[in-house]
Amino acid sequence: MISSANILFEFICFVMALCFLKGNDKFTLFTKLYLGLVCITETSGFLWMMCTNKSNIWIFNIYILFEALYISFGLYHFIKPFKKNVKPLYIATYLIFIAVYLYGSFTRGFFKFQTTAIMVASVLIVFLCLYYYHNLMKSDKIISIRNNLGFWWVAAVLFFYFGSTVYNLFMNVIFSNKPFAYEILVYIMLTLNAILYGIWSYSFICSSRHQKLLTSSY
Amino acid sequence: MQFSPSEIVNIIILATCVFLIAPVFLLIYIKEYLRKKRAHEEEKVILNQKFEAEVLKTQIEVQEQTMQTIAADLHDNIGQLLSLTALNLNSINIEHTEKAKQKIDNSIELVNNSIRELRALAKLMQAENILMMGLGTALQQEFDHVEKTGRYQLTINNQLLELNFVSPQKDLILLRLVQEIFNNIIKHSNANHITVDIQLREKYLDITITDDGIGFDVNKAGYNGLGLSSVRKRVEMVQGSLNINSVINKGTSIHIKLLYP
Repeated sequence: MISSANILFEFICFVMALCFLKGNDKFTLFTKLYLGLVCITETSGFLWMMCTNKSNIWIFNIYILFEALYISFGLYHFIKPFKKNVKPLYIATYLIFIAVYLYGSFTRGFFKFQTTAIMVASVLIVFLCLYYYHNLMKSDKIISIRNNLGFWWVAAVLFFYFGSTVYNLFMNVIFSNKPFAYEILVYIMLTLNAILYGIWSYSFICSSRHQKLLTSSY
Repeated sequence: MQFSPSEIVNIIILATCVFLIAPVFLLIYIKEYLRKKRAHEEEKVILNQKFEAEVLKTQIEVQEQTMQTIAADLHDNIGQLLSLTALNLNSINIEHTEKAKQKIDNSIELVNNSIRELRALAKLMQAENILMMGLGTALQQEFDHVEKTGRYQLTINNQLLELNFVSPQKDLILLRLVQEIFNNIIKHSNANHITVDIQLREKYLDITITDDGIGFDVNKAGYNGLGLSSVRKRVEMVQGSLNINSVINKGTSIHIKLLYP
């Protein structure tokens, strides 16, 4: 039931992206591709578990490579208008994540969840989110939050990665020693997913509103 | 220290709530900050529009003042000279060659005087062009005009004449400001002697205008009606300071200080 709810949130967000996110830029394209991938991953993970009754962690271990790549690219895309030389920061973030990911895969094995890599990625992503808001506040540009895709997209990322700190910290312990708390962690992840995909959907509507405003002003 | 399963669940829920509430407050703070920034920018635009409107109004006032001066000059000066010329020419009797020659010479001199006066008026009509040449020149022309009436004795120290840079919007407001002060002196002060001291000290312009007129009570309510409210407003527009000292039957001193250009 929980997996179905997650798939539903992700699918709604994917449809919202297809309907409201217009434009020919890389961010629009990558967002649609990434959300499509999210739906495929979640569905295939769910089906794998149902059919084989085996762990689907390896599917999510592959998926997080794309997740980190998309999120860091998205942050790079929104910080870029404020700071010209932000590309090295984006590349460094992803390389650090990859290094920790590979180290984890070699030491713990590929079939165990890469918690350390996810935690490192979360810290770096939260740092980039705060860096975006810092630049937004410092900037001379006046933005309307109501119609700003960047503000809401980054807000969703900040909520998800900052909010998942407890989940990430407890996950290892709980999987091994405290199975009773597993259910609550699953509900936390469901809530975080609802927040992430809910705010992202709203950000796509903002983008559409902004586009309409631009076309009506010409 | 051992925690019961329910305590662990509570800790997890509580900690997650804390980690979710923190970004909420952060976003509220950022939203509020951006809202204030937007309001501040809008306020700046409104102030700028007001300033531009005031500059336009000042421009019109300077033009009106110039027109009044021209009308007065045409009526009192050039008109008189030309009437006199006409009278002279009418009274010529060609049979008295010697007298006629004298009258023609007089008429030529009167016409030449009229031409000189007209040239001076033409200069005055180009007040804005004069501002392009510098505030010092425009002010000097004003002072010359007041002095020419013969009613006032002027002592001028105009350091702006030596400057070779301009500040178009400030210059226009300052020209009108000085015109306004002179108007007040002419209308209300009953003064004989006016001293003008204009100095530029380390990017600060000091303008001091002193008269020996009847003075007024600076603290008395209603003195703003004497045209000083517009002087005060214009000083505020150029972000300067205004200091008025006046002693009844002794005279008035007005000191303006501002960053220039």
